Amino acid sequence: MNPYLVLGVQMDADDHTIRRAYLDAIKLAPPDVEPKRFQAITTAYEQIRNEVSRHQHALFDHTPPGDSPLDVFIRYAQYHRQPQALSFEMMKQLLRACSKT
Amino acid sequence: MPHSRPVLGVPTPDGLEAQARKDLAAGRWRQARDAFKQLCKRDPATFQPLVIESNLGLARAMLGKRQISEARQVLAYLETFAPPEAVAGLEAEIGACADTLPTPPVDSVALLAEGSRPPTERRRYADELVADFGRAGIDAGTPARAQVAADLLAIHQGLEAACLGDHERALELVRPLKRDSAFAHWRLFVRAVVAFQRNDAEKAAQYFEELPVDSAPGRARAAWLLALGKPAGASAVVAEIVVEAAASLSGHPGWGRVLARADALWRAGKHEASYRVLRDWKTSFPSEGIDLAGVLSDFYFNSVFVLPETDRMAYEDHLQEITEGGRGKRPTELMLARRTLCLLMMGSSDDFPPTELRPMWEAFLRDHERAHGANPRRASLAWCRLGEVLARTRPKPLFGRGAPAFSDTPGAIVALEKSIALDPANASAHLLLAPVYKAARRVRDRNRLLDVMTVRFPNDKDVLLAAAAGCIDRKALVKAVEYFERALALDRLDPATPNYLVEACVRLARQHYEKRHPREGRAILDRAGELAVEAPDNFVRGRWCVATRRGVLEQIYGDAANGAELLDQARTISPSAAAFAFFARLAWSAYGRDKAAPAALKTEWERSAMECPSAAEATALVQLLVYWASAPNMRIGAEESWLRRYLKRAAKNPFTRDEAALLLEHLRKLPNLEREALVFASAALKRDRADPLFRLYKELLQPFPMLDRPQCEAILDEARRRGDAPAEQLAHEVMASQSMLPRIGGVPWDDEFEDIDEDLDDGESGPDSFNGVHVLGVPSEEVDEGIAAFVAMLAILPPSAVAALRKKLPKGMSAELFDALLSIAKSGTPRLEVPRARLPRRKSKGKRPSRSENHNTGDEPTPAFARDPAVPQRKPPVPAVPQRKLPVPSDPAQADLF
Repeated sequence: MNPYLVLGVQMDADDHTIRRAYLDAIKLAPPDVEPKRFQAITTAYEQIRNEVSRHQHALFDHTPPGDSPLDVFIRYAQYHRQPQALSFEMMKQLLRACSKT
Repeated sequence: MPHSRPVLGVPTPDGLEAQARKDLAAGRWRQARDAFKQLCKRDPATFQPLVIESNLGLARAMLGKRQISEARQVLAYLETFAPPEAVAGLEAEIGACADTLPTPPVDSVALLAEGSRPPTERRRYADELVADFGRAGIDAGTPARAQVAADLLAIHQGLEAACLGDHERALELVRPLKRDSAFAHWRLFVRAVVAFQRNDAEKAAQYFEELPVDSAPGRARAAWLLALGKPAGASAVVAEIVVEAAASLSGHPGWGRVLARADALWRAGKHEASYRVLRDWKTSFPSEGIDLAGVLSDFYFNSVFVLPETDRMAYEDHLQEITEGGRGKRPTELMLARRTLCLLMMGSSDDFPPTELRPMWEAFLRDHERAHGANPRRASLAWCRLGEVLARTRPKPLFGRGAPAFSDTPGAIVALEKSIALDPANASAHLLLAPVYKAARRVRDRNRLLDVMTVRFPNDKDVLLAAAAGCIDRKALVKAVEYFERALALDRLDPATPNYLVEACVRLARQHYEKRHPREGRAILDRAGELAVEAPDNFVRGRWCVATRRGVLEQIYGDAANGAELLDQARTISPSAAAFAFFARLAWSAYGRDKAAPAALKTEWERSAMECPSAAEATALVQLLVYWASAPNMRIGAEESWLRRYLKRAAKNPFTRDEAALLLEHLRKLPNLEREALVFASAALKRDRADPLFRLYKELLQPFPMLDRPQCEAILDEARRRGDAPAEQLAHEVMASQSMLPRIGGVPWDDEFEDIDEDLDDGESGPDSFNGVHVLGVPSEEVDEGIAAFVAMLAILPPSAVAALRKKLPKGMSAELFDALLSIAKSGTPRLEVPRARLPRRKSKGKRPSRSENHNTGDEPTPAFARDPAVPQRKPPVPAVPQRKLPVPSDPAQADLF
């Protein structure tokens, strides 16, 4: 997953901002409580911790962020949590479709 | 929104497009549709998808208002020009909507009011009632029916309040529902939705997980779980609606359907079509941002690296199409496609990078600079990577030995010099460039570079080691020792650095001794002694080895008596008398040049061969010989003869299978002792004929091994059955090296050809030189290379080996052909010309080649570096004698820096 997304920083963030974000993130996901998330945060930090690593990530990183488009969306949703409400119309459509299955 | 209008009141095309896009984004479907229809006349390729999108939005808005017949009319219009996959979803939605026209679920109310039904049935009736939002009211004739009506109204109002963001009211409305109510799970659902909207992910997930899976809210929860980043178990039938809802819940309305379709296509293996769905339907895709479009772009441009081979090739073609002819949707797409293709080429295992790598990489860098601004550090890293790829070494084909060649030396030099110019602080580029200079024989440039490196990076261990290696090449040993000392001070944990330092100290000491400065020599050897370790198999720093070297040097150049005393001390701490004697003998050969060893030492060397020779001891001696064989200007003929005699004696004494296996593993590195190795292999096979390891060794130790693939695979199967890992590994190595051998054995020389025709002057015969393409059915380049290598080998084999080979010809080769090739080899003809009288002719299978199609010119292709006028030209090397028939394992060199 895009390390900037994981750490919640902009792509022009400097070393200090990135480090600050990293420390805040691991406080919320300690290794003994959320080991997977901790690992993801640490990996993301290693990828963009300084200028050289950021350039290398931009130029050479080719790790796909998921196994399929929907899988990518699911993983993206883990880091981009801005919950919205469904419109009432959409709620009705969804519930009608689900009541038929 | 104001936009520019000409005087006549007709909007300009650009203004119309801008307004149309705004209308589309705002959901003003009719206005957007009408505008895009006009624009479509000008540019159908760009605007037709938008016409489709606006019509779909209009149809769905109609469905929301229950205008089903109007929606059907829009669908009919779309079906006249839109692709089927674009309207399939709408068709299903119209069908679903038509099916859910309000039908009074009177029976459901009555059955719920009855109260005697099982819970799952009651839940189902409750779900039907809730999903029927269009019901105006229920006749509350009895108290039970009234309760059902009240619960149902509470749920409906609670859901509506939650959707409007009135969380407190929503919770308040559903609170009075009893636990035994048929709508209890709906109450839980409302609470879960509220928790989600309050961003309490943990509570929301907990509530959603508690919902019964066989209920409507239990199925609908998949949308919220997706939005929480948890995989959903939604069935395929409702997948698209669920994904659409999930996308809306996470703030990405309008993405769901596209995402669902793209996902379905990707999972079906239609990767390119999946990409196109997003590309055509989302203007923001592809991109480099950290939004959903950016993350999906990452996916589509990086998944190619993990696809299976056939899918990857097809996807590469798709990316190639994007880069060709400027078909990119926007510059970002072109840039990302170029980047992916370049990374694929760089990661390829081919020996030669494709010629289009460099121009495409340069184009990508230009695009990247345009998008993100110039950055010399980033550009330096990019050029450094290119240089690294071009400087990749490629193995010599067939029987080739010697130093590996670089893929593209001049290209690598240009790229790495550029990298350094852009960022002088790029240490990696310096380290990569130094060996490339050496390969290009630009020794001065290399030395200058090393000097610069040590000033720029005084505290970089790798730089110091590289500089030390350069000093050793120049025989500046004092400087080399200094650099090794500094490297050791920077990293005391690396075990290789002290080895290098001790080797350099010994060389420097020898230099001092030779110049008749024994005091300086002793001082340097004192330093080497400080680094000695108690490891008998460390031939560089082992204490007994350091002491032996010291004793030998002292005896040769210094005080002989002191030297003898030092050798006595070394003897007492050595692992065995034979090892000490052999090491001392080898050291004397290395340091003594033409000075004869003392008689006492000579006697000791000979005597140690008589005392209890064993396979275990022989392994240690072989390792010693292999180590010393790599020393510069070292001749080991006499020592090889000595070891040969030792091995003969050792073979007569008992030895275990493991001892023999270990011995043969090391003997592989000494091709001149193959006969002795064969003795051990044969003896081991006498005990176990089917032993896979020794079967392999026995085949490979023949004068001319021709172990074919089926035989190898049979041995591999036996090794797997026995769990013999070393045998498995050796079999794999043999099969891998087999792929590099010429296809002489596999060519059907006899089957496909008529009898030899003496008269080939009928205009349809083969050309002057041997053209394999049309005669043998194999690519001429491979056959020509193979034949040339075979002839070259015949030219330098001793007569006995040639005779042995003629007795056991390669599979399918006739004696006549062998004689023909041998006569060519003996004549020393540089150009391969097989005598016509002996040239077999292929059965007629169609058009024969014309003479102009002769691919064999008899000339080797000019290597890449030789095309550079700056680099002195030299002839390409002749394939060397295949002295090593066995695949040689990588040697964990104790001083591989040298």
